[in-house]
Amino acid sequence: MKRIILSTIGLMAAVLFIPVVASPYVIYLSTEVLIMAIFAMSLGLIMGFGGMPSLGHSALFGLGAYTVVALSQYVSNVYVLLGAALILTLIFSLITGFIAMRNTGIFFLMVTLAFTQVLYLISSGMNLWGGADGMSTMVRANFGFGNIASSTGLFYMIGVFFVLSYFLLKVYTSSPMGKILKGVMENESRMTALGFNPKIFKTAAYTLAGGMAGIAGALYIYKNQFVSPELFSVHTAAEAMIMVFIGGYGTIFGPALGAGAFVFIENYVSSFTDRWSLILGLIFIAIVMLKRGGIIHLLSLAWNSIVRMRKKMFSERKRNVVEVKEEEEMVNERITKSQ
Amino acid sequence: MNALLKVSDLNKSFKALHVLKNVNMEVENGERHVIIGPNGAGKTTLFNCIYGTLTPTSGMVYFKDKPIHDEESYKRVKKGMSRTFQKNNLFEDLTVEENVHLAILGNKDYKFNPLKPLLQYKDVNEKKVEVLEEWGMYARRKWLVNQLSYGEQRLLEIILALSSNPTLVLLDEPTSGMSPSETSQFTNFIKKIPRDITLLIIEHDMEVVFSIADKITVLHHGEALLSGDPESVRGEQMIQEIYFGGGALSK
Repeated sequence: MKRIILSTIGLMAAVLFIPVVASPYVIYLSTEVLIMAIFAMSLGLIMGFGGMPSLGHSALFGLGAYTVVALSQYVSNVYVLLGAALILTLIFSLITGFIAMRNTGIFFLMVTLAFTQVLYLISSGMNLWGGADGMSTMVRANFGFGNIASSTGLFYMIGVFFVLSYFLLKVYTSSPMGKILKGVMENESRMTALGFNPKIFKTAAYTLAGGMAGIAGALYIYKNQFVSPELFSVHTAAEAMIMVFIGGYGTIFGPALGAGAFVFIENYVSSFTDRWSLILGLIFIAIVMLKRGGIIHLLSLAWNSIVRMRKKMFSERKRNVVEVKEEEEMVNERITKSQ
Repeated sequence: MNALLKVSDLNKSFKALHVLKNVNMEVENGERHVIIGPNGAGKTTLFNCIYGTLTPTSGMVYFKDKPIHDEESYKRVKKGMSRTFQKNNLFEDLTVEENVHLAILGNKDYKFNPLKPLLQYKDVNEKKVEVLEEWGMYARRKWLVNQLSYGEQRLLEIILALSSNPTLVLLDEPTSGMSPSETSQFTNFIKKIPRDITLLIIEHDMEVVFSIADKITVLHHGEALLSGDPESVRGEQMIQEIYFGGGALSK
């Protein structure tokens, strides 16, 4: 628990620090990173800890976004809007999770894809809420201390949700529920023999991840003020999956790093070339082929080698000191002998 | 007092294949009950039916006088049953202690708690240290399962089965694939299990069988031919012919 709290505080400090040093454009991008990070971390939970590769995650992101836009025509209270998005996505993911849980692996993927496609067709086919053109809203977040309109304010607001999500996921994955989820991923039949009903633990994680993706979708509206069926597309779901892989499969923070890398590559590389997705694709292929844990794995490798190098340098210096002393003693001995 | 486990008229068929035919057997409290029989006799199928991994085609299984044959497998642990597998069935990419944690959690009500870190539960830690020290695996607690030797993995199978405080443990060929020295060490380990835990064991190695069994049931072509104490089974002419190939144990 101590470790979790410390890492959360560290993350909080990093989030607080960014707007102090970053340019407005970087703050703008970072806000998007935080939203996508919440989205990717929630997918990382069910993929990396539950063994459930889902292409239905964009359904939940889109559902959260659509809920906010649709309801914002009638209410503007941010608590109501976010609460509604959360509850709706929790219910939706509970039901779809329950249905999809009959299958595993590639079949699970297909079932979740089907849910996404259904929502995509409904949202683009209906005249309600803008149809295929999408719809915009003027809603602003007001938590009781004025409208959050500045980009820095928005960054901090989403930063709070990001840090909370991180903390929640960290606690969840260290709790009995989370450990059991990992066990189910590793060996489902053995977990049944040990007295667990795997479906309960998988559905619980799927639902939690769904609610989190819903919140990410709702926050997306506060940043972009616009929703379109594009959010429900396979494209959105696949992007999140790529973030999980390039960031670090099987970790909590990895997908967040992946989201950061994804958004920044998309924006900076696209200023040089239109083929930015080619670069991203190459990175993705390299990581998958090397079978490594993504960016977070590279960072920890680098960190370990720094620690090792420092240790080595330190011990060498020590050895040098000892050697010099020994030599001095030998010389002294010789001097006393010769006398 | 009634038997701890009672199997009555159990049948199991896979389509046309009739694997278990009217199997009847009883396991008393504290007993070491060994099931023997040639390959394909239906021993593991019987285990799976008792443990709920398979649903019997007909017949009843009573545990502590309650019928359990149509209940889901995962409910067995809560009732005091646990099992091991013929082939190692462990969490290969987790450490030894993580394996044990999961086994302990199986019988705890707080397995549904999503908010408190697992390591803050004192009883989990205490139980983990207890079982690992008792079985001489404490030094290995940080090792990944796939770094352990085969014999150690077999041992871990048993440790997991004992971690949930069971009253009845089903051991499916615990010594399969072991060297003779590992087997004898293993036999001693099995003898160490306290008598308040009842053991139902499938075993091929006759030396092991006769050194641990209180009672032996012979399964042949899906039928329970005979149940009795080791001496009477050893003496039975018919059993010697069909299973031991005649005279193998007459020494």
